[in-house]
Amino acid sequence: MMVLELRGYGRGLARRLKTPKGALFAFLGGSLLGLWIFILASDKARGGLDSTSSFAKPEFVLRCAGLAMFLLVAISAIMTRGINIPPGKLDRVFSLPISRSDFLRYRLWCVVGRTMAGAPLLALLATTKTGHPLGTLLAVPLFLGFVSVVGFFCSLLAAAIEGSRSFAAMMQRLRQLGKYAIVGIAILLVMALLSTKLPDLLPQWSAELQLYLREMITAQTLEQLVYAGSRPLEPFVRLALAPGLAQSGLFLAASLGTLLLSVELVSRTPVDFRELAIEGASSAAKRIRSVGRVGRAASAGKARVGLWAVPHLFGRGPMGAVAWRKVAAIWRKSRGFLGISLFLGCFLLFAIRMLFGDALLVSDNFEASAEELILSGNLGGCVLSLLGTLYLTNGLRFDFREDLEQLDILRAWPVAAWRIFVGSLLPQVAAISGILSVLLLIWFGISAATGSAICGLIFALPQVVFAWVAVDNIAFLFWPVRFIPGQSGQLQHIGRGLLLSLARITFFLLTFGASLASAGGTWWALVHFGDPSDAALIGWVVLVGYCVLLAANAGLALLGGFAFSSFDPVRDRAL
Amino acid sequence: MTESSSPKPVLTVEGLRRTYGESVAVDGLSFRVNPGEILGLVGPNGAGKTTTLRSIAGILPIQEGRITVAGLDIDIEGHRARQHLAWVPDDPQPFDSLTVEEHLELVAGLYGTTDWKRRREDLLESFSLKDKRRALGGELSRGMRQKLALASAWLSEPKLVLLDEPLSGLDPRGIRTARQAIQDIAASGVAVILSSHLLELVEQLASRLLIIDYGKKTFEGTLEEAHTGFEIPMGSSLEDVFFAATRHEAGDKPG
Repeated sequence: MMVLELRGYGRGLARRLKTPKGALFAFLGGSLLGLWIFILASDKARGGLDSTSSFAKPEFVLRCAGLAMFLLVAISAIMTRGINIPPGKLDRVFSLPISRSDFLRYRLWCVVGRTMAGAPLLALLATTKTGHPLGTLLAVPLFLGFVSVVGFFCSLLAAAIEGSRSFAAMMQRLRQLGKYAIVGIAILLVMALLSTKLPDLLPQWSAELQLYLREMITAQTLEQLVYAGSRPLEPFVRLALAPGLAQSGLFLAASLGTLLLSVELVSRTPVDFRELAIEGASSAAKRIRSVGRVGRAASAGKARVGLWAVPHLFGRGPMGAVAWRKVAAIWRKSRGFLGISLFLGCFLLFAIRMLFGDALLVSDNFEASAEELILSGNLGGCVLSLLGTLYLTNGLRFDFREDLEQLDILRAWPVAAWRIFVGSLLPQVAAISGILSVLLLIWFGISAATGSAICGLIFALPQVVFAWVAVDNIAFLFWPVRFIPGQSGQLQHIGRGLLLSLARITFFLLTFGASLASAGGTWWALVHFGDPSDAALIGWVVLVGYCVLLAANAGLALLGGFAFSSFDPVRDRAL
Repeated sequence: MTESSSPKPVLTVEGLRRTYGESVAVDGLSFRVNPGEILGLVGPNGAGKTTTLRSIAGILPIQEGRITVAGLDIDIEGHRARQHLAWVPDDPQPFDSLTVEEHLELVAGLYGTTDWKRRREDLLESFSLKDKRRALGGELSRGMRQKLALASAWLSEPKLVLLDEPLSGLDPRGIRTARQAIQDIAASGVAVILSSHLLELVEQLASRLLIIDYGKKTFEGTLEEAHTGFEIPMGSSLEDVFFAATRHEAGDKPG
C-alpha cells in the first residue's frame, strides 16, 4: 500500500508539472525554497550562533525547541484522538485481511516517513544554531520521526480513555479552569506591566510582582526546568551536538534504537481504534475541508452556542444582518483565539518590558534623550500595529474563504454586492482593531510613546486593517483557489502564494502610499504657502491623510463588491 | 391549478445562453412564469436545469440573454430583483455558527420582513423545526437542512420561489409537509419553479411543464398538451412524456 501511495504521488506531481501554469508556479515555489536554503546556508557559513548568554547556547536552544515541539505534538494529538484515516480509504483498509498491529505499523511508518521527508529543511535550519552539520542533519529527522510516533501514541491513548465519562467531565472542568487561569494571568501581567508608569493607580503588590517575575526570569530556574523536561530527548540532543562521525556513532545508534523501539511498542498497543476512527474520519474530513477554505485559522474550528444572544452590533438593516452573521461566527468559533491572542500580546509586551527594563521610559533612562525615547516608543506602537494586523488577519479569517460553500446563498441575497462585501469584513476588522487597541494602550503604559500618537494609531487602525483584509479578499475573489495543507501540489501552492502576496502587498502599499503622499503634500503646501500653527499643521495633515485613506477604502469596497458580483462559483476549485 | 388570468409574468427568461468553457450548458432558453403558477422543470442529468435556476437567482453572471423578475432585470437591478425571489438549492448548506431560529432572523433582516417573529414561530411549527430551534446549522441532518431552507424561503415573502430538488433528504412526513407547503404558497399567488427528477411529484404539483435537454427547450406546456405534441396516448404519465421529449440515455452528457 505504501508503494502504491508513493507511485500515485509521483504521477500527480508529473501531471501538474506538464501544464504551463503548474510548471511556472512550481518554478517560483522552488526558487523561493532555494533562496531560503541559500540564506540559511550563508547564515551558517557566517558561523551560526555564538553567544555567551546561557539562553543563546546551542544546547539550550535545541532543548527548548525540542521540548516545545514535543509538547505541541502531544497536546494536538490528544485533541484529535484516534487514527485519522480519510473516509474514502476507511472501508478499504478495515476490510483487508491484515492484523491490527500490522495495520498500526503501516500507519506509523506512513506518518514517520512523511514527517522525515519534510525534515531536511528544518535540519538545515537547525545546523545554523548548532554548528555541527552532520550530527544535526541526522538527529532532526530521527527526532521528528520519534515525536510523530509519540503523537500517534497519545492519540491512541486518548481514544482508549475517551469512553470514560468521569474522564470527559474532568477534561471539561480542566478546560474551564484553564480559561479562567489564562484570563487571571493576563490581568496580573497587565497590572505588573503598568505598575511603573501608573504607580498611583495600581496597588503596591503589582510593582513587587514585576520585580519578582524579573528576578525569576534572570535566575537559573527556567534553564533548569528546560534541562529536566528534555531529558527523554537526550540521545537526539547529543547526536545533534556531536562534532564528528566518530562521536556521533553511539548517539546515532541510540536515536535509531529509540525510534524503532517506539514504533514497535506503539504498534503493539492493545487499543481497538476502529470505531473511533470511523467516527473521527467524517469530522476530520469536515475540518480538513474547512482548513482548505480558511487555512489553519480560528474560523476552521467548531462553533458553540453560548448563553447570550448574538448582539446586532452593526444595526438591523440588510448590511447589519450580513455583519451580524459574522459576529456570531467570530463569537462562537473564536472566543478562545481572541483570548489567547490578547494573552500572547500581553505576554510579548511583558517580555519586552522584562528585557529592556525601565530603559523604555523617559523618567528612568538618563542615557537617551527624551526625544529619542519618544520616537522609539511611537515607532514601537507602529510596529506593534503592523505585526499585530498581520498575525491577527491570518488567524482570525472570517471572510469569503469561510463562505465558499455558501456563496450561492450569499449571491442570491437581495443586498448590494458592496454591502455584502463590507458587511462580511466589518466584524473581523472591528475584532482585530479592538484587540490591537488594548495592546496599544498597554504599550502606552510601558513605553515613552505619546498619548496623541497612540490615539492616532487607534483611530487609524480600523481603516488600515480594513484595507489589508479587503485587498486580501479581493485577490481571493478574483483568483479563488483552495489549498488543503497536506494535499499534493505544495510547490505550486508556494509559487502561487508568492505571486499573490506580492500583488497584495503592492496594492496595499499603493493604497497606503496615496494616503501618506497626500498628507505629505498637504504639509508641504501649508508650510510653503501659509503660516499655520503647529496644531493646525498637524490637524490638517492628519485629516487629509485620513480622508484619502477613507476614500481609498471606499474604492476598495466598491472593487470588492464588483469582485463578489463577478465571482464565478464555477471557477472555485482545489489546486 | 390552471393558467392565471393575470397576464403580467413574474419571471421572463429570453434567449438565455450559458457556457462553461467549450461546453454549452444552456442554449437560447426562453420561457415565462405567471403568479400562482408551478412550473415543473425537468430534464436528464446535465440538461442545464440547475444552471438555469442559478442564472435566474443571480448566482451565475448572465453571459447572453435577459432575465427579469417582477419586471426588474436581474443583471442590471440585481439586488432589487432578488428581493422578490427565494432560492432553495438542492443541497442547502446552512451557516454552521447560526442556530435554526437565527437563520430565520437573518433572512428577516436581509429581506426586511415585517412581523417576522410570529411568522418564524409558525414556520418552525409547520416545518417541524421547533425541537431544533437552538441547533447550529452544522449539526443538522440533510432533511433538516432542507426544511430550514424551505422555511427561510417562505419567510422572505417572495414573488418567485426556485426549488431545486426540494424533497431530497426528507422523510415521508417531511415530503408531505413540503408538498403541501408548495401548493399553499402557489395558491397564495407566488410563482414556483420546481426542478426535480421525481417525476411523480412534478406531475402532481406542476400546472405547466418545461422540459429541457442539452440546454435547449424541448417542450413547454401542460401535460395534456404534451400528450398531443408527442403523440402519446392521453392519460400517460409524465415519465412517458419525459422519455419522448428526451430521446437519449439520461446522464450521457456532462454539463
